[in-house]
Amino acid sequence: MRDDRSNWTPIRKHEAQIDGHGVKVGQISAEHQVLISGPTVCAAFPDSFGWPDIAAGPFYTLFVRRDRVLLVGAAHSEPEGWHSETGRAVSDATGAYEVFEVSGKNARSVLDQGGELHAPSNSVARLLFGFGVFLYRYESEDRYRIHVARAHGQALWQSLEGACNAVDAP
Amino acid sequence: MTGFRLGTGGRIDRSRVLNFTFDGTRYSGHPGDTLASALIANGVRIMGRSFKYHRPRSVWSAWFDDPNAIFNIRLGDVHRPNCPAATTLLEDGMHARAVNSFPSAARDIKSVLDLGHRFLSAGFYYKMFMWPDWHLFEPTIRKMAGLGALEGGPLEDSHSTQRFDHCDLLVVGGGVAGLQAAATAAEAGQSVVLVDDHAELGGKAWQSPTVDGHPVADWIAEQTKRISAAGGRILTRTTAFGIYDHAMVGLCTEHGFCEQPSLTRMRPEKLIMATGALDRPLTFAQNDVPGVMSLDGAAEFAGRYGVAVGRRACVIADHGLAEQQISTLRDEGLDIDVVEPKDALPKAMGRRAVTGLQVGPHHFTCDTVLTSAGLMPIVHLWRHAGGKLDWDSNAQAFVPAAGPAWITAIGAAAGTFDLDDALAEATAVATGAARPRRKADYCARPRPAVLGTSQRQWIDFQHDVTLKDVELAARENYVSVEHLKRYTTLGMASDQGKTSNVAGLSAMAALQGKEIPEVGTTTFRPPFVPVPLELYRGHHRGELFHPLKRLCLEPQHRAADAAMGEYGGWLRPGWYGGGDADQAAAREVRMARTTAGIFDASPLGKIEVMGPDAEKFVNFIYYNTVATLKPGHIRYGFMLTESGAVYDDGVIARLDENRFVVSCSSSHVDGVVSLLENWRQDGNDPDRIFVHDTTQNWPTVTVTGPKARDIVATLNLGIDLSPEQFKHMQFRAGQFQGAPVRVARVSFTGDVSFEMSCPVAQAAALWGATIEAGAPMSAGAIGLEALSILRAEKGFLIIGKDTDGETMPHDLGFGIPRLKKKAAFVGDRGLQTQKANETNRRQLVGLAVPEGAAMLPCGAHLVSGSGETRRSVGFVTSSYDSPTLNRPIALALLSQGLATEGNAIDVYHLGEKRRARVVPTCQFDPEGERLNA
Amino acid sequence: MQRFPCPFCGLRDEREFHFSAEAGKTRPDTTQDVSETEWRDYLYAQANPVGVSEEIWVHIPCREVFLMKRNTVTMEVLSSRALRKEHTP
Repeated sequence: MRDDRSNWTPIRKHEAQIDGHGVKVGQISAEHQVLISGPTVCAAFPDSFGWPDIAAGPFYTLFVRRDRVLLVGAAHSEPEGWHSETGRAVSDATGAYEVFEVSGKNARSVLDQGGELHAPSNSVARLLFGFGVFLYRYESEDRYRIHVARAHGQALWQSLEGACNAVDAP
Repeated sequence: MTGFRLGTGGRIDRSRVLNFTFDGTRYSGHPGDTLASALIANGVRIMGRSFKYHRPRSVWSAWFDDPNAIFNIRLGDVHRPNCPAATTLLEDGMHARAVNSFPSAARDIKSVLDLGHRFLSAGFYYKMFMWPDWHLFEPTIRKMAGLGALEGGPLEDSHSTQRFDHCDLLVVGGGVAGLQAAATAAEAGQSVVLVDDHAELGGKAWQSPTVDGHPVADWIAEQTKRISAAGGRILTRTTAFGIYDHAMVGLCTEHGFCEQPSLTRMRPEKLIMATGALDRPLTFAQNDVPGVMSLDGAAEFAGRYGVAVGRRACVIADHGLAEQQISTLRDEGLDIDVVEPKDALPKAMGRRAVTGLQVGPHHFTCDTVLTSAGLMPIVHLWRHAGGKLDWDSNAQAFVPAAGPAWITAIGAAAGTFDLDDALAEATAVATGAARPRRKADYCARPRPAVLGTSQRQWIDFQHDVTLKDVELAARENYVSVEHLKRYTTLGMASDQGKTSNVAGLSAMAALQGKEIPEVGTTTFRPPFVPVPLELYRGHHRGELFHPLKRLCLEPQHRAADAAMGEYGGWLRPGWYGGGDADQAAAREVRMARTTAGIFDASPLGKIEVMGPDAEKFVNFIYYNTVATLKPGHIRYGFMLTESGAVYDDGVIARLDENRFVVSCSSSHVDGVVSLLENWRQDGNDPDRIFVHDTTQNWPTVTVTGPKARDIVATLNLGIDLSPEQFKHMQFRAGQFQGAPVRVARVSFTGDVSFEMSCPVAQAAALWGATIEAGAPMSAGAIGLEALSILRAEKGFLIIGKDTDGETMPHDLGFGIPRLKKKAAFVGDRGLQTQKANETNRRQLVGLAVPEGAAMLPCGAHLVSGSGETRRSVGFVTSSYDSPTLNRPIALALLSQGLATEGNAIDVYHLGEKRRARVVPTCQFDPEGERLNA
Repeated sequence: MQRFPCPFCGLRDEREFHFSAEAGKTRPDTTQDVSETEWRDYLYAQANPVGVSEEIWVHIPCREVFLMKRNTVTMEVLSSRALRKEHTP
């Protein structure tokens, strides 16, 4: 077998930042992320956010599928597992997704290089730069959060880096 | 007598001078020039050599419809082949060379080919050069074909920025009609994007001094202001090169010769096509001589570039706008004779340049012949979108007819050639109002092809296809327009028939005695003009071309000098401590068998399946019976495809009545999640089964070996690790530094193993503590290479390596569920087919080699019989030198292998023959004493 | 670049989707005898219509398995709906 370690840029540090070209990118620590699935879950969390809704607050839920939400920023009342009384399946996902924030006047230009984002959607789940993500706005129109499977965090970071560098091109 | 720069006029910046060379000679031009306009201004005529006959050629026209002047250009370090001179903006320091000519366009050594033109007519390679053997001639002919050449190495980092975009209205074409439509629509509140391929807007407006009574520059500035003020966007140097499915438009924006163009994938709600029209060349004798040009092209060179294409011109053009264009050229100082040949076939005189025009008995002295058989609307985008064309016999052109609702043509592109008509039409269409009736009456004189002469009349300039070739094709019975195209190669060059298609159809129509529309129209496919391949190279390059999944413990592995490689889509440690792979792996194997090995098993799947129907569901998914699995227990199992082949192996753990964790193999996690979701929603009740992929929420540190228990004990996980309390294939919950830990006794090595899964936040600490605990016992980290050997010693298979696309569980020694499992499961019927029941199926066996022999090559064939009866009956799937057993081991798929245990078998590989003996797959601790310790 | 309508997420780039199967096939009850012909047809027989086609697709980001009706010649998407309880046998 071949030693390919030099073919792959070592994983950037958690504190790494991209700042320039009218856009800022950084990783944030999500204290809690919980997957909650069930036939009535979306009705049970009606204040969840889709696209291009603007989520706000220290904790919130995101519509991911017709029968699943992701709770961000707070622990869920029910422990992990299946709950027959409420009809909910709960799994911790705190470490499963890395969370990035992209903000600034060129934030949208960066993201427009990763997917066709114009159409509104019930769900925040989509492909961005080829990776499965949850993409939504947070607290303002020009501020976006992206959750990506942790194993793809480095590759998504590099994709965002490339897109930031390109954003000045007319 | 050749072209020259006019004293005034043009959109060039005369205050700055740009220097360049063409075929080694120095010239200069101005910003705003193309290479074509700058060369004409310098009096250069010959700018290229035709593809087949190497005839001298000049430009035909001023923009993308020129088929002749194609250059290889170098600027600094950047080299680009096949640049069209008429659309390449001049930049200081460019070095251009005409393609397909040596040493220069002016003096090409292959011009002698023209003398042999009789042997090079359409389809010549099917008929000439056949005897004695086509292959004698093929290499030479192939070498002579082609235009530009690549120079230098690849531009490693060259790529294009690619973005998605959206608007209410995309207006393609920034001429008069497009500008008017965009301004009107923008002011009416639509989000408008206007694109134009020129650097400066205006289209053909620059051919006249005014638009709608205003100086052209002022009028354009006014529309631009209206558009911007209303929030519209204007993209210049941007070509809409294609319309794709579901109304997606490809836009290519140029940023300069040394920059990469950028790609915009635009999804407009509506599109207005204001792409204009171009001249249809007149077909006559010697119509390719340098100096025969498009009338519109000449007007464009004058208006946009301030260049006169010649001093004395004959003009053959009889259509609604010709008079205007002729008058413009006369105002610029050209001496013009308007000629109407009627039935006579005109002939251009001269070879390297036009010296005159012969029409019947009359000879006109001139240095330029400007022709137009009429204006042709540029309808490519219309056709990409599925729109139909009609033949307008007044205009002698194809015009857009019925088309999709979201796209409308205006201006010359729609056949509206009069400026006032175009303005009124643009205003109406932009606001969705009805298209007004045209006031002006544009028509063009029909120009049927003159057949059966001995004259050479060019139809496709770029591919050197003449009227005689079309006549030849017709004689050889290629009567459909698609056959005509492919047999003669008419319309197949880089210009894609922009100037040749209609001329070709006209010739076919004359040959068949039909009207042009009866003969047919051609298919237009994107891209509309050539776009560089770099346009399609976006961010998927380098590390992002096939990004590997990364471990959260990667920094720890790198710090331990791990060699990293791809294993099942992840970047994982192959071996530690640097150095030689085989030696390091052997060392790690010995360590794992003697004390313990510690490895990062994080990629192992951890897919939770929950719900009231979870048990029924996993029992259906798995080959093995899972319904009887008790909480706290783990079972090994296969997932099959419906045809009965093994898709994945792995273990499943039961947490409680309604909760399972599917721990499939690392490389198949996404596939298994897909498989589970598909069955969950299609064939089961998705309200009673839920699948959560938590693989990446739980990094896993595995300790395996005789000292594994001792090492885990030092971590104080709060679990009773004694073998009586914690048996093989069970799991327990514990805690590490206050966080939950799941510990499973599953072994891939055949020694006692503990797989510890913890949250990401504790992973580094858990790994570090485990390594630290192992150090005093001489236990340490092991990588994937060592792991591969350890599992092979035990006969544990790797899906896709020791199985192929047809291997079924009973081939691997797991035959019971096939015979006994009553409940339905995926692949059940597939296991009962004729094929599944065949007795000669390939089965997984072990192979041993004679004492002292080398290890077998992986992939070597197992061979039975000899001579005529010799055939392959299997192949080696895994092969290693076992440090534990001090001899080579191998696994193989062998026909009827299980019944032939103990037998010798021939092994064949790359001409070499070996001998091996069939043995059980498990060579290490077959009783399982170590495993159950 | 086509756009397909996921019944939950709405219109998305075609690359977010994966073709699953032709619609209308029901898995035979394999606890009973299933003839070779029936099994072969279930696995491999495809109608492959020219024109209107009913198909099962998966929207990868949300894993919705759904029914889509489209025209294989004109590329027009005619309808899409969830493949849920109404369609399971």
